[in-house]
Amino acid sequence: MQVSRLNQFFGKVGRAQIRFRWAILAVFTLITAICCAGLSNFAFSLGDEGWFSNGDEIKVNEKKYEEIFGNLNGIGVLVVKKDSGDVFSEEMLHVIDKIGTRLRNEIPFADRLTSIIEVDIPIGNADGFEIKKPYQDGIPSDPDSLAKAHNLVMRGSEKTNALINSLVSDDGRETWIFLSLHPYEGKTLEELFHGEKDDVPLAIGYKLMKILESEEFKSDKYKLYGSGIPYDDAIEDRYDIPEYGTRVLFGFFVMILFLAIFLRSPFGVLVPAIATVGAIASVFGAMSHFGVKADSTLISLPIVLGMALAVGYSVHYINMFKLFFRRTGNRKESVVKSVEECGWSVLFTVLTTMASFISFLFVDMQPLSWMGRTAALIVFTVYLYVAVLIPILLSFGKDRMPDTTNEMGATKLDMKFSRWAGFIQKKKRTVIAICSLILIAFIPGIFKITAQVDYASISGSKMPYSAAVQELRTAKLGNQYSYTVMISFDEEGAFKETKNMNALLELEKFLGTLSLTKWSGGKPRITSVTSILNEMNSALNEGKEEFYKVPDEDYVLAQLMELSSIEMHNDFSDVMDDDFKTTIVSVDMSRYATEEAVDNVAAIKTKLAELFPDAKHCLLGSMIQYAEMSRRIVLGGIKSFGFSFIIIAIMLILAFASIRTGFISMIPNIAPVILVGGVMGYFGFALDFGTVTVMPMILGIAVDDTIHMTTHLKMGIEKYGSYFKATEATFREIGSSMFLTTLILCAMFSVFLFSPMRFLMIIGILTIIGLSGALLADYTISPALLNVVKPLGKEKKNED
Amino acid sequence: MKNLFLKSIVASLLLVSASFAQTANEIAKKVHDLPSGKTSSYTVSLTLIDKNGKTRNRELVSYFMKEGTTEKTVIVFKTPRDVAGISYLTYDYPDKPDGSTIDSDSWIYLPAMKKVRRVSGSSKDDDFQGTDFTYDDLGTRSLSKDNFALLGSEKVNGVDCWILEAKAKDTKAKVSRRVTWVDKKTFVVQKGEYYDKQNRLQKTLTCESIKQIKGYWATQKMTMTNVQSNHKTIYEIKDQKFDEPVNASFFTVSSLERELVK
Repeated sequence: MQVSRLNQFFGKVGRAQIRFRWAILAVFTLITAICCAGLSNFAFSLGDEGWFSNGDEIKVNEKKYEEIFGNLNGIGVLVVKKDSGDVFSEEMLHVIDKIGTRLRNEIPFADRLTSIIEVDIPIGNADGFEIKKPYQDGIPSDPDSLAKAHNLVMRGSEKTNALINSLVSDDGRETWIFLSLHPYEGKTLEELFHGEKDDVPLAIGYKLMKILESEEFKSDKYKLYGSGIPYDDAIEDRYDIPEYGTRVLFGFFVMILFLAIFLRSPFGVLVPAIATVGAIASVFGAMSHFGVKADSTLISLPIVLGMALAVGYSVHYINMFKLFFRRTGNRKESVVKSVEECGWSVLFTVLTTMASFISFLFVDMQPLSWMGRTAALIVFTVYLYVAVLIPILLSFGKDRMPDTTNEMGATKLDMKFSRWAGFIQKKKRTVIAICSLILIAFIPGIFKITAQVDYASISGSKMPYSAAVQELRTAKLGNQYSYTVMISFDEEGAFKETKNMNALLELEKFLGTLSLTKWSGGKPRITSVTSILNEMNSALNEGKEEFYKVPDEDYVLAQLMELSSIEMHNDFSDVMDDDFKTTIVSVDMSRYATEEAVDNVAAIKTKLAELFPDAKHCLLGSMIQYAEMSRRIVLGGIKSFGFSFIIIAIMLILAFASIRTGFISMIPNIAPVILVGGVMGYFGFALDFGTVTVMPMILGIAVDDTIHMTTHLKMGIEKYGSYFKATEATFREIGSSMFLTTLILCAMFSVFLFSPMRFLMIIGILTIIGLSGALLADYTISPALLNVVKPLGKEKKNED
Repeated sequence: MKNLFLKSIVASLLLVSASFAQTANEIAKKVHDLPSGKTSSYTVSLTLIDKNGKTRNRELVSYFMKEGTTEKTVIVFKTPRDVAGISYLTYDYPDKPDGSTIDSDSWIYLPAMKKVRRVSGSSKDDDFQGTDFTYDDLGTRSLSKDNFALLGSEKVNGVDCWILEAKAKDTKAKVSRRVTWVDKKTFVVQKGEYYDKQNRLQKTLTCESIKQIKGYWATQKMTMTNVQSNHKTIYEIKDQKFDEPVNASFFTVSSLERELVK
């Protein structure tokens, strides 16, 4: 591909831009207005919404679960007594009662409330058995009645009382209030949410937040902790999204600052700023027109990147314009020349950057593919706005006398870059050796990279809610993560058989031994049908402790199951289906650790296959989602990097019409990726859905400078016939532009460095390291390599 | 003149609403006091239908006897196999003169354990045998538990009905409001709507095959649909007999234990 012919084409484009400048401005304004109108439909997707598609095994299993057991999500409030005493005092009981009443009355889709006030307790005695509510006749005031109710809830030990260290801690200082939710469907969905299922969890979360933060529950005597997916969604919406907004706003200020430095006029700042905002807003508006929801976690990345690239592209055009303007003094002709010189190389960098983001479409996770699609669109639209509007903007104004002090139009800084290129080429072998050694040192770090996708690791410890999340996780009854094992037989009544029930008991015992299972007191936090059967069996046998077990005769077990399904219908139907063939076991986790979680999941699957060879089984819940997300993040990271590497290499090969040149151009771009990978491994920055984007992004951006450099070098060789001189000329022409664009990109991404959101801060660090590394590589290894390999054809005469 | 006209409208509206308030309580009492015979027996077929349309069936026989003011009921499960033989005996007592309720006495017999156990603590608010009906829905709910209002009248299946509203006095009651359509002539409920604490429709009741047997009005088929969970229960009565001799010994703990009630 001949660069000169491409440049001629862009020269024509530049002329057309000037001739039709008013018409072009009108068309752009109209298109922007139409696209931006879509912003009225703009919406975020929250939580795990969109992480898995409907065909995913996880979603299929969730659907199966919800068909049998109802809504997988519920909400909870952990009440922790702060000063002396426990939750059984009259005052605390009234607090628990009031919270429960408000949850039941105010939360949409409220189903069943469970708390120490509402709980059903089967009690056996010599006469028979009784299903008791400890506060059936209201909360008493006299100490005797209070003590009686307390003793009823806390009867026996944690081994013979399913409530102890499950609903209430053994010291009585912590207790849960749970509210199960109806499926998000039916009349309530139509009336309150206009049929929009996705809006429900956030509304529920905010309602819960409002209840917990209301004046009546402000006290030093106790603390309330919200829990559940809807609550997490509301937290994300309240704290995380504004944080992403703040970063975008800081990014905007940095962009304005750089525009002010380079354009030095209010008009010059305003127009590119409006063009950039217009381009980004148009993309989001157009996507909203098509009903595409923005991913709340990743949204700041394409916006900040878009703003950074907008300034970068502008700098290329403006610097080239200035170079010619100084030389000729003819404004319009300089504009045409700048479009002619920059048009192709900037467009090519746009295409490679887009390719790196399009690579995310191959990742099996919707938020990442959303990010890739959006970033690619933003890059292209920003380019379009800048490439069309900036030359038009520059064409307004008067001509002036040419600056003859430097015929080349080069500044002192440009000349320093030129001399640097000469120095590097003279020491080329030493430079290559040093660079190679540095890179080799970073390679082992790449193999230390882990994946960590849980909410706590990603948000870190500096967000306003981090302390509460940490307290909730470490509380005796508290937990943040859990999972559910679902076992399903084909034949009805399978769990009425003692052999299957014994297998279930063995599974529970096994789950208790896993490293991530939460223990409260001396009991693993595992919920299943067996605790109901234990209670019922004991109650039917005069409350004797020796009967606190699952019966070992088929007929007795079958009847106990039927009776439990009738007498304890609500609790029973939470864990066993109506046909007694599908059951669930829920496990609370003490913490989350990716590798342990993956190991635990594998161990559970093996155990399930061993214990229930004739049944279908699956795992559900946050741990399973996180483990699967980790797997996909790692796989997706490799895939997207691999794809962007291949596609960019192909583009370079095509652009330079040479396989050798294409591959050699890739070498300096691999360097920053190795650098970033090494830093991630050595400093323990795990792969998550934010950091996974860094390496392909760096590759896509870093290659831009290589393209500029190689294009100029090619032109230089055509002109001078010498690599040495061509490289010097290249550095003189674009050395400072490369520095400036990298400086701008780093400055833009530095807005993430001060984010309290951990994953954003890490993205900031890694991107700055990667971009700086890429620039250093372009200043060192690139000219050295090009000089050694000479991939752009033979020299016309000997240098030196 | 105009003023007088307005006053007369206001006065007549007040009169109408006052008479409605009075009539609501009267209608509720008439529904509550519908005669049900000294004895009765019948077979119940329960069909539980989940939201996917999957059905489960249970069959039970029920015997009823009034002894003084005490109402005695025995229920024996016939199917499915694993519940066959499980029996319940319940004694219900009338409200005290001050309107407060007296707890029922209940016993359960489990053939697998060969034991009768006394059962207490079940609330009338609770589900009846894991169905969409509560004990209250199938029995006669104490009048003292609700405030009544008459919302108007409407035809249901060609029958002229009062629309009677019962609001639970207990703010914690699972069903906060019941609206029933009551036949103006017979005071038999034709259909109902049940609202939860957030005053959202929770369940709907439809009544079919309403007929007189020996002069007693009997609803042979009731369908309760939980519109929030999309679960449905059909309660069908067969072989209903009134005022025919029933073995009084059926209503004792020992006959449960000896599996005499079939």
